[in-house]
Parts: sequence; structure tokens; C-alpha cells
Amino acid sequence: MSNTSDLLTLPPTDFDSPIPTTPRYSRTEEPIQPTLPAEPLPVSGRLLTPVTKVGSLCPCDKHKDVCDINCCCDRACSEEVALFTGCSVDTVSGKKQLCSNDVATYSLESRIDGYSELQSSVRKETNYDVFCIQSQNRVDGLSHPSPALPTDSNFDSLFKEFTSFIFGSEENGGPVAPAEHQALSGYQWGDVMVTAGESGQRGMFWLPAPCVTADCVDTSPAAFLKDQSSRCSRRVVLKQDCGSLLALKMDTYTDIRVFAGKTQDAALVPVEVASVILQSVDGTQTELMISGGENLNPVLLNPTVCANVVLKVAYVTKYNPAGEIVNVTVSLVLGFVREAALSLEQEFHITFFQEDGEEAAIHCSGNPGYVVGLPLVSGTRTAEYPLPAWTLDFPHLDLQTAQDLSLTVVVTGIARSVDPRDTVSLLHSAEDQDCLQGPHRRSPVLFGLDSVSGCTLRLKDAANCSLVLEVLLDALRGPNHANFVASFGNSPLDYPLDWIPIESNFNPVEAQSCSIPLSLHLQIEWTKYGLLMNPQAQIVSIKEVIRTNTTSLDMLSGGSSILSIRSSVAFVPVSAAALPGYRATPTINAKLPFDFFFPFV
Amino acid sequence: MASGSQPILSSTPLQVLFYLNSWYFAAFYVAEILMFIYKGVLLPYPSDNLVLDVVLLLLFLGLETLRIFYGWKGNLCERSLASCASLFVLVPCAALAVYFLLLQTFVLRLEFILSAVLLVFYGLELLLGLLSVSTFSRSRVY
Repeated sequence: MSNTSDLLTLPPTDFDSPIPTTPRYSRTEEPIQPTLPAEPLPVSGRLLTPVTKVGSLCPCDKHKDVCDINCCCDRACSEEVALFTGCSVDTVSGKKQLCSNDVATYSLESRIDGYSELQSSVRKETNYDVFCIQSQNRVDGLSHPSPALPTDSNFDSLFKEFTSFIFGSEENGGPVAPAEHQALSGYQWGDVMVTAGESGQRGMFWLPAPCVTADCVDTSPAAFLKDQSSRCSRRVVLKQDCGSLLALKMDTYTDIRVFAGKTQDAALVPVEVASVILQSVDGTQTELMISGGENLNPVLLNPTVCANVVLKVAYVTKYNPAGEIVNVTVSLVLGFVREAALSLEQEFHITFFQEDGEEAAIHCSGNPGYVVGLPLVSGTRTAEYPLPAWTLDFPHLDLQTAQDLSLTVVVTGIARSVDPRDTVSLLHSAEDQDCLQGPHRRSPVLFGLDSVSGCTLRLKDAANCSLVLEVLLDALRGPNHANFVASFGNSPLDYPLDWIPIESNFNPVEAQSCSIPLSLHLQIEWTKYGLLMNPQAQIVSIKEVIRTNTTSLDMLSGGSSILSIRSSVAFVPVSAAALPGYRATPTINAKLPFDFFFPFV
Repeated sequence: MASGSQPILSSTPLQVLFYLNSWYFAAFYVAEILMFIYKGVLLPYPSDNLVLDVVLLLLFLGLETLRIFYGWKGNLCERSLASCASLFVLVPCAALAVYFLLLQTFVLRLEFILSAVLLVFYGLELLLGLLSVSTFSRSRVY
């Protein structure tokens, strides 16, 4: 039993370098050599053999074969030890958990000539703890087993053992993951949609987009479920390109057949043309009745004008819950390109809608509280009967999609548009600052973001006060004026108490003299609601402050008949200071049964 | 003694030993379990060694219960067969005690002491068991 303790590895284990094959001290017992069946592979290196004997251990021996100052156990210090002033390590003991362990003590003694002399001894110390380790029968002693070194023979088993849990390794994840992908017939988010060419070759669904410059890159793939809209420009030389450039042709965008799924045998879904709108030279748009047989290819009308050029393409893709494409419709705007224009600007949109999934189309701006940066949720109070969606006042939403998708959900009380951007909005600040640029060019009010924007109007007929007032009010408020705002980002439509009316200070009736609105300011008071740890933003009140002119109109415009109007929004936090709330102390609600003390009471 | 016809052959010292041994073993076993938890937490046990020790400990419980049961009944009923079975089971029990005394992965001093005492019990029971078996079988002759 006493022999076994020699096998112990001691805590401050010293490692002999493997390069000198003989140990530094010949007295060291035969080191425990891990039985190696073969030479370790060259890259793996060798394990150091542990030195286990207390007498040869030296924790302060930092430098090999060089004497460390005041390190009494350093064997290289046979000469320098006379100059030592003390021992940095005076006892080296084995594992304290053992019942009997060796302790090496080192001490210095001053000789008569002033030099020091080393006194060292190794003795046995007995531990009287009843839980000490009397003996142990492991090869590795109290140290953890040394790891197996890779050799020629055991490399494969080690590789299998240690690489089985690596993510994405060939063993584990590699073949499995593609198999799962193959099993899914539909597309997944971000997948490239596969198209079939004329001769059956597979291609990708392209949606031209600007890349580094504003120039269109035709080979930009559209990703499944990623709504995209891009605007890019092309340089065209009309004489050459009008009839020949594919990007100008309508057929390029309509003669596409898309595979419904990713698998080889997926059905082919042709792209249907939902509407074609012709835009005249001056910008008016008329919808073209598609009767078929018409030639809508670009035609060079005269050397400077090319007709029937694709200006805008909007795809609407319906998919089912399995991720398969059900149908794809495309709406196009065709128009004229003049030689004078520097470049042709084209717009491309693609949107994805789930088949019969109106629920998913309603966007929330928070759950429940508003999230900073998301548009306010607004609605209008309606009569208590349902309305078809497209009869409501809509902005000029992408062509026919409003009718196609039966957009608005109308329940008793409040109606709101499903388009999250169709909400309380401000004037859109554009570079030309033209208010009449289009009523749909407005920027929605985003929660928590104060902003100011403005535009200019040229008033020709300033005398007609009521008309000016109406135009300005429309421009300030936007085309579909909502009068209710949800207090939370996810307020349900059928719960009218969650909807806050927009208070307005403007009353057009009382305006006797010609007072016209010049600015609109929305003051939105919001508070933090709920726990301090996770406060939710709640809108408490919303006030619309319309400032009217005080002087006459001619004075305002300064004779130039140009009027600038302004809209702004400010979010005012009105949260009260948080109060610590204590839960009610629990009360013991233990009732003894009626006859608990029956025989006695 | 009651009937007077037959003398009682059962060995009282052996019965006392069995009685004490049963209680001692129960205490020993509880202490072993606690010490294995202690060792498993503190010491670098390789899992296969730990499993071996614990399985042997479980086996020890079964064998010891069997041994004390047969020895107990055999001594009280004066059956030499049951006593022989008890003595037969004593051999693996003693081997297990020696294992926990010397050969297991880590031997704590407390385990060492407890196993040594258990071995003393076994030695005495072996002697007395052999004596009583010989007594029983000799009485059968008549």
C-alpha cells in the first residue's frame, strides 16, 4: 500500500521535457509512460511525462537548467545556493487528500563564514482525517487520465469520437440537412425562385435592381417572401434600343413561368398580366383593356420618342402555407421615352401575399406597446356594417392589388387599412418641395420620432377662399384622413375603447374671414405602461393643432403667390414617475373543518 | 428444552453475530453510499471505474442480505443446508469486502476501517457457522 502512493501525481506537477530521453535526475523512478501502440503522428506532438516524486518536484524552478534565485529545490543551484538569503518555497508536499504523503522541506542555515547551506529532508506526514484517501488503485493516480495521442492505428476512432458533435461536419449535419431541404417542396424565406425557360432550362426569377450605381442590374434575383421595390435607371440610345432592348419590352416581364416549388416535378405557374396602364407623354394614366393580340412592343414613333416602354413593373405573388407559389400577377405601366431624357428610370416591385391569409396581412406596430420607429396605427370610425375593402378611400396603392386582396377588414367601430404606411402621415419632403406632387407621396408618422416637413404651393386663385382652404387642408392632412389612433400597437379593431380620437382645434365653420391653414402640428402624448422592467408605450392623447394665417393671403405669399405649408409631429412623454408596488402579503387561508375538535368542543 | 426431548443446537453467539451484523451492514451500506457521493464529487473518478464500484456495491447488498437470511434461518431452524448456503455466500461477500478494503479505486480511511470490521464479523461467522453446521449434521445421524 505504501508503494501505491508513489504513483500519485502531485498537484504542482512538474513536467520533464520529452526531448532528453533520460530524466534529469537519475533517481526519478520509471515515469508512467502511457502505453502507446504506435508512434504518435508528427503533428500531434508528445505528452510530457509527469514527475510525481515530492523530492524532485520544484514549483519555483521556472528556468530549466538555470538557477532560480532563492529557489532552494532547484537542482541547478548547487553553487549559487551559498548566496541565497531565504527559500521562496520551503515545503513541497504531495496531495493533501492522502492519508500519508511525503513532504520535502528545504531550509537554509548560515555557516560561520556567512554563506548559506541548504538543509533538505523528505519525510512522511500522516493525515488523521477519517476521510483521507487510504489507497488508490488507478494508473493515473489522482490526476485525470491523459488523453490518447493520435497514432496511425487509432486516428479513425479518435476522429469519430471527437468530430461527431461538430456542427455542420460531414459526419453529422452534412447529408442530413440537404435531405430535409429536399423533402420540402415549397420555397423557404429568402430562397431564389426558379423559373423555366422556353426550352425547359431552369433559371432564376430576376428583378432588376440598382447595384453600386443607379444603373439597373438585370440579373438580380428576387427572393421568396422578401418584398422588394427598386428604382433604377438605364441609359438608352433610342434608335438602337427602342425595338431591341429586352428590358424595355413588356414580354420580358410577362413571359415567365415560375416553378411552384423547388422540386423538379413542381408545377409551372405562368405569370398573369393583371393590368397594363398606359402613361401618356404628359403623365396621365389610362388603363388598357387587355384584349389580346395587341402589339405592345416598344415602337419608335419618331426619331426622338419611343412608345410602349416598360416604366414600372409590379409583381404580386400569392403563396400557400406550404411555401408553394399559387399564382403570380404582374401589373405594368407602359409609357414614352424621349430622346431628351438622359436616362430611362424604371421601377420594380414584388410583394408576397399568403393565399387567403388576410389575418397575416394586418401589421402591428408593437405588442402591446408601440415600438419606436414603427408607424402609428390609425383608423376611421365607420358605421356598423362591413364594407368591401376597395370602396374605402385608398391611396393610389399599387394598381389593382387593393381589389385583388380585399384589403381592409371592417368590423363594428373602427376600420383601418392593412397597409402599415397608410396611416397618420406628414407631408413628404422632396427636393422640389411641390405639395401637389401627388397625394400619395407622404411619409407616415413613426412612433417616437419627431419630425418636421413642408412643401410649397402655388396659388393662382387666392380669392376663392373655401377652395384654397380645402386644398390646403387636404394637403396637410393627407388624402384619407383618419380620426382615430390606436393607443397600443396591437389594439384590436373591435375594441373601440382602445382607440383615441384625434382632437382638432380647427373648425372651418367659425372661420369668418378667409383664414386658411398654414401648418399642422400633431402633438402626441404617450406614457409608459406596465411594469418598470418592461414598459410598454401607450398613446394617451393626440392633438391636431392647425395654425391659420393672421394676415391676408397676398401678404403671406409676398406677392409671388407661392405659399409654403408645414407639418410636424412631436411625441411628448407624459409618464408619471414609477411607483414601487408591493404585492399583498399572503394571508393564511386555512380553515379547519367544522368538526375538527369534535369530541371536545 | 421446552419439550426436553431434544437439546437446542442453534448457536446463540452466531445468532447474536447475525443480529449485530445485519445492523452493522445497514450502517456500513449507508456510509458507503454517502462516501461514494463524496468521492464521486471530489475525486477524479473515471466513469467506468465508478460504475464498476457502484455495481459491486449493489451486488454486495444482495449477497449480504441472502447470506444473513440463510444463516439466520439455518441457525434457528437447525438446518445444515441453509447454513451451508450461508457459508457458501460468505465467500463472495468476503471477496467484496476485501475489494472495498483494498482494491477499489479510491479507499478512504473510514472505508478501510469499516470494511476491516466487516471482515472480522465474517471471520467469526465463518468459524461459528462451521461449528454449528457440524453440530446440526452430527445431530441428524440419530
